[in-house]
Amino acid sequence: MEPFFSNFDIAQLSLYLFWAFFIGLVIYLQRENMREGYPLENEQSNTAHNQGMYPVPTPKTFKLMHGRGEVSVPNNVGETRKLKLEIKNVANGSPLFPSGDPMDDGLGAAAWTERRDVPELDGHGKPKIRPMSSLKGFEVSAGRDPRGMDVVSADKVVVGQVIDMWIDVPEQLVRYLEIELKDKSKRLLPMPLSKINSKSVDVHSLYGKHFKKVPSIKKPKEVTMLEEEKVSAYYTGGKLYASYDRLVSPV
Amino acid sequence: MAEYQNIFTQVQVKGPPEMGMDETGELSSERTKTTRNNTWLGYLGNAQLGPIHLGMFGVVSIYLFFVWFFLVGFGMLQQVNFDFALFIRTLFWLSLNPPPEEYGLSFPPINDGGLYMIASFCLLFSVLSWWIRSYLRAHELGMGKHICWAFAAAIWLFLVIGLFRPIAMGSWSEMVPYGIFPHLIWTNNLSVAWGNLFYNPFHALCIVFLYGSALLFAMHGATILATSRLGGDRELEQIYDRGTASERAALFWRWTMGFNASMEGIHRWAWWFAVLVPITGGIGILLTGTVVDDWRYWAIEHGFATEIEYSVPESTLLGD
Repeated sequence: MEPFFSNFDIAQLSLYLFWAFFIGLVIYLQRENMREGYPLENEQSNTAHNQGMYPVPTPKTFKLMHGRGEVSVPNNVGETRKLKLEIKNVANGSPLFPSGDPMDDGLGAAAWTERRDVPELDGHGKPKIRPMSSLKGFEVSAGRDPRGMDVVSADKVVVGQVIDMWIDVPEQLVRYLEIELKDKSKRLLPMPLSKINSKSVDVHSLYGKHFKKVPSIKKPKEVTMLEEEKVSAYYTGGKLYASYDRLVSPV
Repeated sequence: MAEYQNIFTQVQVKGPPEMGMDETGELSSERTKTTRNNTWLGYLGNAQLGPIHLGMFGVVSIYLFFVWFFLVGFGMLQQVNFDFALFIRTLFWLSLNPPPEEYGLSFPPINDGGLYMIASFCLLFSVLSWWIRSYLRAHELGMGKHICWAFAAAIWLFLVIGLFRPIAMGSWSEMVPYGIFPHLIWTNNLSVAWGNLFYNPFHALCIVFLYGSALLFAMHGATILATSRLGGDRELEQIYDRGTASERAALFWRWTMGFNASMEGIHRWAWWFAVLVPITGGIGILLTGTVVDDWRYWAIEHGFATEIEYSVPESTLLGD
């Protein structure tokens, strides 16, 4: 057995110094990623007994633009809503069961978060997402223009027509299609959840009967972040709950 | 009926060009005035091209880069006696070579590595000038300097290979020849000459971070595309006002691998893994030949290689 320091050299020293740095880096990175979702809770929304090996970081503050105040995370604010969920088994990690219709109650695949009920702003302080019909100088430059096309649900029902596109103005990107249902009421359809085919816009997530229940928005030319959550989550909810078949076999 | 996976833009819209944040008008005075729209770019992301800011450091950088480029080309042409047909045919094997060992750190004659030194000088200042440009652009836009520091990490490896290590070794001949295959042969020779670089632990770390950062970026890109249907691609807003997109992204990875990043933190993971590629690589190269003259022997000494000789089929051996 050689003495420990017999073959010690600068290369070895560099390597050990690197390991020490890297351990510190991983601890720092992991704690930076604990600004959301910590301290851990159990299914009953009580503080979990096992909090893991890393301490929760001290709060850091984001100063928001356009007079929207400040946000500090972690903020220790858990879920404040009363959700229509049933606890069927108290063992840790057991799933919670929706007691009503998960799509209507915003649960599981239809879950939405209580974001701010204000529109997202661009750098100049104007709402970012606006209907194309209210914007000057915008035109379709490539791809299929979906306006005027029928909207077809997953069960092949024509539920209405596309009447407008809602555009992320600084990004020059279509975020939503605005559709008019048979009863003349309007709804938003997230662009990534629609497939523009040659004659129709197909929606895989919902069946015909669901479209009336897609949450509508308060103002005709403005959508808030909370409304965006509710609209998008209703569609994605359909991916799992639109029919019993989907629940037992999601593919 | 399959769902569209949001890989390419289905319908593109074009409006008045977005000129960004320029409240004082100072930025606009320093950059090109017009923008263009490129449909092919638009299928993947934003279609707008420009306005472009070049500025003094940008011009200096581009100018010096082309001086380096044409000096290398001139050096190669000289090797084939200005025969253009031969130049094209042997282009991948031609190179502008660093000075021979006997000149040490002194300036060699112009046709015996001197041209190479002048070209290298241009490349060095071209790269440094581009770094200054990246710093000034970030500063003027009120951004953090994360991009400059990541670029500086890459420049660290560049400086180790072309400046610090040759000085430590006492000869400019340690620098890398400018040529397509010659620089690859240099890389192989460096490994062979110093006892196989695979036994260099920093070389191993460099590869770990290279693959690791590629994996992290692929995971992140896929996660964002998958949650774009819920607004997950608007990452900045998700950072300070978390939506269901972020929560689903986090849940997916928690259920898949037991833990998750946050919308802000994933970028810290990816940034650090990426910058550690050239940082660890640079340390490994700096130690090669200066501190360690045989990595395999070093690895045996330090207990992570064995003295067992593995036989290699002759057909895989390099050379001859």
